[in-house]
Amino acid sequence: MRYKIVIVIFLIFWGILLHRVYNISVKSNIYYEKLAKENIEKKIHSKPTRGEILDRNGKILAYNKIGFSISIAPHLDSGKKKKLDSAIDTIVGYFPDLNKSVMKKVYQQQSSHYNHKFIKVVDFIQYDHMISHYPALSLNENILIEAETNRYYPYNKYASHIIGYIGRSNEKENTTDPVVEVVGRVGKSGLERSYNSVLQGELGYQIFKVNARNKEIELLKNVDAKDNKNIITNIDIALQKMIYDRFGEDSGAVVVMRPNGEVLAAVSVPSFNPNLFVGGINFKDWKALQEDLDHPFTNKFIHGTYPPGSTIKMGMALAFSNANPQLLDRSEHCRGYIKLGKADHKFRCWSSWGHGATSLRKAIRESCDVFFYNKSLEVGIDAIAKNMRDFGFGTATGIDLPTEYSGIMPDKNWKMRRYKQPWYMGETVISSIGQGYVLSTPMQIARYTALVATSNLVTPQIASIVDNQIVQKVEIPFHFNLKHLTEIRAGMYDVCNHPKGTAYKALHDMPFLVAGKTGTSQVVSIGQDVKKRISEEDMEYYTRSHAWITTYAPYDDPQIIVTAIIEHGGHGGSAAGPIVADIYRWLHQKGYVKPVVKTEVDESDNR
Amino acid sequence: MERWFLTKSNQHLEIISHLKISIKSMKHLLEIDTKLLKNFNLILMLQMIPLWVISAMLVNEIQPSLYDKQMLYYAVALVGFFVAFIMPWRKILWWFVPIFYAINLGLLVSVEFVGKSILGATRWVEIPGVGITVQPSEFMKVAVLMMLGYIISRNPPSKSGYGLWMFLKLSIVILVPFVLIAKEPDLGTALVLLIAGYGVLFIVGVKWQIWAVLVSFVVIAIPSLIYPNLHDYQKKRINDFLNEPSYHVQQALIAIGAGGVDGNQKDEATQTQLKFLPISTSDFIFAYLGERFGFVGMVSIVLVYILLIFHLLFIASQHNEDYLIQVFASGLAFLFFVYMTVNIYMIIGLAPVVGLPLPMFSHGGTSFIIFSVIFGILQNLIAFKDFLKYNSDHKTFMLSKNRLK
Repeated sequence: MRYKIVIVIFLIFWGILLHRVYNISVKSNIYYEKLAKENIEKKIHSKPTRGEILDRNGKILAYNKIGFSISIAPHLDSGKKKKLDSAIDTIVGYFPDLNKSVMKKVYQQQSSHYNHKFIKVVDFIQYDHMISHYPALSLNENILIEAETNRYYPYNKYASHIIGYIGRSNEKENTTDPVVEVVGRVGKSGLERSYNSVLQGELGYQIFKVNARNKEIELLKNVDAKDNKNIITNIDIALQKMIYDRFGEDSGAVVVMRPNGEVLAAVSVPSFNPNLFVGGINFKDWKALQEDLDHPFTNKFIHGTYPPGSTIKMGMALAFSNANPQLLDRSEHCRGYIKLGKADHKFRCWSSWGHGATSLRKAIRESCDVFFYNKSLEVGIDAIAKNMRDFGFGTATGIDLPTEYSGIMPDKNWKMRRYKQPWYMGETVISSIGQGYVLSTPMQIARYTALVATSNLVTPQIASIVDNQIVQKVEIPFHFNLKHLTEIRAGMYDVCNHPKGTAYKALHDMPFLVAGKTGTSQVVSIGQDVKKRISEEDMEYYTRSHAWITTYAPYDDPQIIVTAIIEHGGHGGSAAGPIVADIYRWLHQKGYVKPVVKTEVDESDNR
Repeated sequence: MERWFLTKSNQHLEIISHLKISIKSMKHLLEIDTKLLKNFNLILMLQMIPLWVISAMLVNEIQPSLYDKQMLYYAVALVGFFVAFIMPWRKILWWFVPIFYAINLGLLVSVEFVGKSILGATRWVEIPGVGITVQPSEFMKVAVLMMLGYIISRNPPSKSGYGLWMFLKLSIVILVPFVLIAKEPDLGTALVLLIAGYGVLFIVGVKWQIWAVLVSFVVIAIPSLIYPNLHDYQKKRINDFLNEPSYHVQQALIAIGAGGVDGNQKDEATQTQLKFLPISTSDFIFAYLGERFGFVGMVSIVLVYILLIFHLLFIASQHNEDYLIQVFASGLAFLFFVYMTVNIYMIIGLAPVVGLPLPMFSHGGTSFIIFSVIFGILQNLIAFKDFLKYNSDHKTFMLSKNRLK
C-alpha cells in the first residue's frame, strides 16, 4: 500500500514532466527553432557613402570630406576615472581646440557595462590635421582612430538654398527611414532633402553567426551597400556666384531658367553657410542668422511670396483673351484713374496724367493700370482666377525642392473660405495689376514667363541626372489666341527696347533682343488722399516696394528666362534691370545663347 | 616466494608468518566473495551504464576538455563504489555510523564559522593542510541514510508503524542537518534531504495519523512561515518562476524546443555549441540532451531513471525484514526521484532554479561519487543479507532484542 502511494505520486510528477517536454520539443518546435535562429544571427549594417551633387559643368557642390573620428575604449570611467581623463588629455594634447568637458560628457552618456564598443568622442577631424599625429595617437591602446567622412559644401553660401544641408536625424526621421536610422544623418533642406533617399544610397549588411558572447563565428551573408548615387544639376555654379556677388548689399532673388524648365541659377540673397549645420550649428550662429531682417534662411525663390505687381499683366491679358477674345481688340482710354462704386472710390493708374488711348501692346509696354482695371471688371475675378491658376499662379511649380510655397490667386470662393466675406469689385481691380491678395514666388513668375515666351508650361528642374537617370522634362503645351499673344510679346519687347519702355535703359543695348516686364509690388498701401506718390527713394528702406523684373531672350528664339526681385528696391526697371542685363551679358559671354539673326520687329503699333 | 624468503635470511621469518596470516585471511575473504557475488544485484549496476555513457558523450561534445575530468570522476566513483562495497558495513555499523554522523554535523557547523563563501552562499569548508574544499552537505545525505538505517534496524517499527516518540526521534536525525544546510543557504540540497528522509520514514512505516497532522501543518506553514524567511535571491527565483522565465530557463526552453522530435546533429545544436545554453554540462545538461536527441532522447533517459527508481523500490519491498536494505534502497530511490524531477522541472520552467544536478548525468564529481558510494553500500548490504546466518555475534544481539523469528 505504501509503495503504491509513493509510485502514484511519482507517476503524477513524471506525467506532468513528459507532457511538458512533449509540448516544448514537439508541439512548439517551430516557434523555438525561430527563437534559436534569432539567437545565433546578428545583422550588422554597413553605411553607404552619400552621393555627391555636381553642377552642370561637373563642379562639385557637395561631397564627403575624408577625415578621422576619435573614439575612446569602453569601461574607462568605471573604477579608475583617471584612465578616462588621461585618454582625453592625450587627445586634447594633440588637438588643443577640442573641448574636454564635452568629450567627457559624451563618453559618460554612452558608457555602460553592456557597451563593449569604443565610444566616439570626436566626430570629425580633417585629414591633414590628423595625419601628422596619427602615428603617435594610434599607439595608445585606449584611443581608436577611424576613417570618417563629413559632408562638405565647397561653395558655401552661394548655393545653400538649392543644395540645402544635412544634419543629425531626429527620432521621427529615424522611424520613417531605416537607412536614416543607421546613417544618423539626413538631408534637412534643399536637394539634400528632396533627393535624400537617392543620395543616401542603400544599406549593405552582413549577417553573422554569433555565439552567446556576441562573438562572430561565421559570415553567413554579405550584401554590399549601394552608394555613390550622384546628382548632376542644371545649375551653373559660376553663374550662381556671379549673381550672388552682383547683389552686393541688396536682398532678393533671381531665377535663371531655360524655357524647358532647366534651372541654370536660383539665387536667394542673403544666404548662409550650410557647413555650419553639418556637425550641428551652435546657438550663437543660429541666433545671428535667425534674427537677420533680410531672412538669410528663407529660400526667397520658392518660399518668398510677393505681390507680383505689374509682372502679372501678360498673364492677366492672356486670361482676358481666353475668357473673352473680342475684349482685347478694343482699346481703353486712360485718364489716370477709374472711379468705382457709389462712393466713387478712385483706382489710380501709376501715371497720374494717364496714358490716353491704350492698346494691348501699349498697355504692356507702359504698364497702364487702367487698361487692366477696365478689362478685369468685364471678365470678372472667377474667370480670371481660373485661367491664372492654369498659368501657374497660386499653384506649386513642381520644382524638385522641398516645401515649395504656392502663393495665392484669389477668387470669390477663396475669399469666402479664408475671410468669410463676400468679394468686392475693387478687389478684382487691384488683383488685375498683381496687388491685393495675389502672391507669387519668383519661381512661379519665371515659369509663367516661359509660358508666355514659348506657349509651354514647364516644371522647373534643378536636377538633370539623378543616379545616372536623366530627369524627364515636363511640358504642357497651351494654345493661346495668336494675335493677342503676339501683341503681348511685342509689348514685352517694347519694355526693353522702346524708349518709353520701363526697362529700356537697362536692357535695350544687349547682344540679343530681350523682352520683359517690370513690376513694383507695394509693401505698404497708398492712401486715398494721396494725389502724388512719394518717390520710392524717399521712403524708409523696409517700407519701400519690391522691384520685379521678368524677361526672356532672345526675343524671337527664347532660350533663357531671367526673373529677378530686389526686395525694397523700388522700381523694377531701374533696380532689377541692371542685374538682369549683367546676367544676359555673362550668359552671352559663356555661350549659353545660340546666336539668332536679328529680325526686324514690327514697329507699326508704336502709338 | 616463500622459498626466496627462507633461503635469503632467517630474519625474515617473522614477516613470513605475517604473510601466511594474511594469505589465510585472503582465502577467508575469497570465501565470502563467492557469497557476495551470489547475491550481487548485477541488473541494478547495468541500469546505470546508459546514464554514464550518454553523459560522457554529451560532455565530450559540449566541452572536450571536460571529458578527461569526467573519466577521472568515473574512476574515483568506481573506487568509491568498491570501497563502499567491501566495507563490512553490518559489522562496523554500530560504531561507524554515530561517529560519521557526528563528524558530518561538526563539519556542517564549522561551515558556519570557517566556511568559504562562493557566490553569496557558504557551502564549502577547507580541510586544513590538504587544500581541498568539500561540501559537507553532500556527505550528510549518506550520513542521514546510514543513521536512519542504523536506528530503524535496531528499533524496527510495529505493524501499524512508528508511534509519535520514535517519529520525533527519527525526525531529529533529519531536521538538524536540514536546518544547518538550509542556513548555508542551500535550500535545494536541504529539501532533497528532507524529502528523501521523510520518504524513507513513509516507506518504513509511521502511523497514518502522524502523516495527516504533518501534511495539514505543512500546507498551512509553507506560505506563512517559510516565505518571509527566504533570502532575497531565493524570493527573486520564485518570483521569476511565477512570472517570466529567467534568461537561463528561456535559453533552456529554446534549446529543448529546437530539438524537435529526434534532435539535431552536433554542429546543428547551435544553442549549446554557441554557448547560449548556460551551464550546459552540469545543471542544464538535460536541455542539451533535448537539443541533441530531441523528444525521443529525453523520454529515453527519463525512462532509464523511472526503471531505476522502480527497481530500487522493488528491492526495498522485497526486503521487508531487512530494514537496512529497505532504508538504503528506498532512500536512494527518493534521492533519484527528487534530484531528477526537480532538475528537469526547473529546466522546463515548472520549478524555480534551485541548482540541483541530474543525478549520475550532470558533469560534476560529487554527484557521481556520492551516488556510487550509496550504491556500493546498498550492494554490500544486499550481498551480506545472509550475514546473520554466519555471524553468531550479531545473531545473539538480535535475539536479545527479540527481532529474530
